Amino acid sequence: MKLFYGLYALIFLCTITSVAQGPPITSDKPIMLGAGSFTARTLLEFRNTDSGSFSYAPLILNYLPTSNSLIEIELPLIGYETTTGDAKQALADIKVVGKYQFFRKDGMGKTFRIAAKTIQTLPTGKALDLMYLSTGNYAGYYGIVAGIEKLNYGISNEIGYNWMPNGTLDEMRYKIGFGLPLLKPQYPNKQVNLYFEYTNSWLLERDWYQLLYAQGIQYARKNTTLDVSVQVPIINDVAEGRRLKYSLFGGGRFTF
Amino acid sequence: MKKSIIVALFLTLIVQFSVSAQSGIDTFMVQVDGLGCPFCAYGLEKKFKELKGIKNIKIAIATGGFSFGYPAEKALTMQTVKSQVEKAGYTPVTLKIIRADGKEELSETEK
Repeated sequence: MKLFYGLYALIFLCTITSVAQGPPITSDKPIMLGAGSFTARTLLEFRNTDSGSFSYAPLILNYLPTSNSLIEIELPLIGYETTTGDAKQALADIKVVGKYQFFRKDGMGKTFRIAAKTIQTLPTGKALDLMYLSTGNYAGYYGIVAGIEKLNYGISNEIGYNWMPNGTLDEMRYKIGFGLPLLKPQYPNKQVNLYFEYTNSWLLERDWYQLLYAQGIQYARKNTTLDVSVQVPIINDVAEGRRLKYSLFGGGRFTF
Repeated sequence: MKKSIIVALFLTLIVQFSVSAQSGIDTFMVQVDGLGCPFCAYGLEKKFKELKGIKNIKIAIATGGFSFGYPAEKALTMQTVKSQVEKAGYTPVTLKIIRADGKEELSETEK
């Protein structure tokens, strides 16, 4: 467990130097950077549920071959302690992400963009039945991300479907997130952003539904960004013994 | 007296040098749309820093005003600047170039 937390801290420290402004918490944004950009980021999650507690630490690397396309790989570790007494650290499901931005409308100090997105989840993780973290099964997610960014606020939406041919975690999902800068926009960057988002998740084969609310805060200064947030369930219509209690997130990003 | 002449000559040389240095720089002023966040401005600056020799980058995110200096001998064209803004993921609206020799170039929309 010490090794896990050590790696966890190392990943966090490696990505804390950043110039980020989102995506906040778990919601996504269309593509905002230019061709040839590399970004290293992480979004650490501590998830507490009725079935146990889970610590997820991904190292996420993405590259923009053009200004309207993105490829990304997520290399995650997971530590867990279940209520059945199982406790371990392991590799979680590796993910490969692709995005293609097919619409962009720019104005003075604002932009509206729409991108198609896919997440291919590889069955490399422990079969913990943890949605988007570690299932040990292949899954393919297909969705659309749309967002408006203005200097005084940002709104992002995502709708998509996760298909798991050899499991029962097929999911229809809709997310909406809001970002509010608390300080006057300035360049070089010095900003405190408040984020809040709602996630609707329907697991069709299990007849489960969750409505989750997350709130977070981000501090950005020059090349450094620090994000912290908490997510709680508003509606938790899932099987007994599987309910989410809360999740805590800590994130950072570095673009080079 | 000798001292005064030497100081005057020295100051003249410095001024001449400064003028020559400044006169070797083309000034570019671009109106950019799509800068919806300070991080967007970072992306734009980062893209233009790929042009070796670029100087005095300034970005006013509220208005989308972007300006920089570039060595005149490298003859940076309007088309290259527009292309670089697009590669950064934003939209160039108007572009004005003041060349080191004083000549001005304006994009079609600026005219």
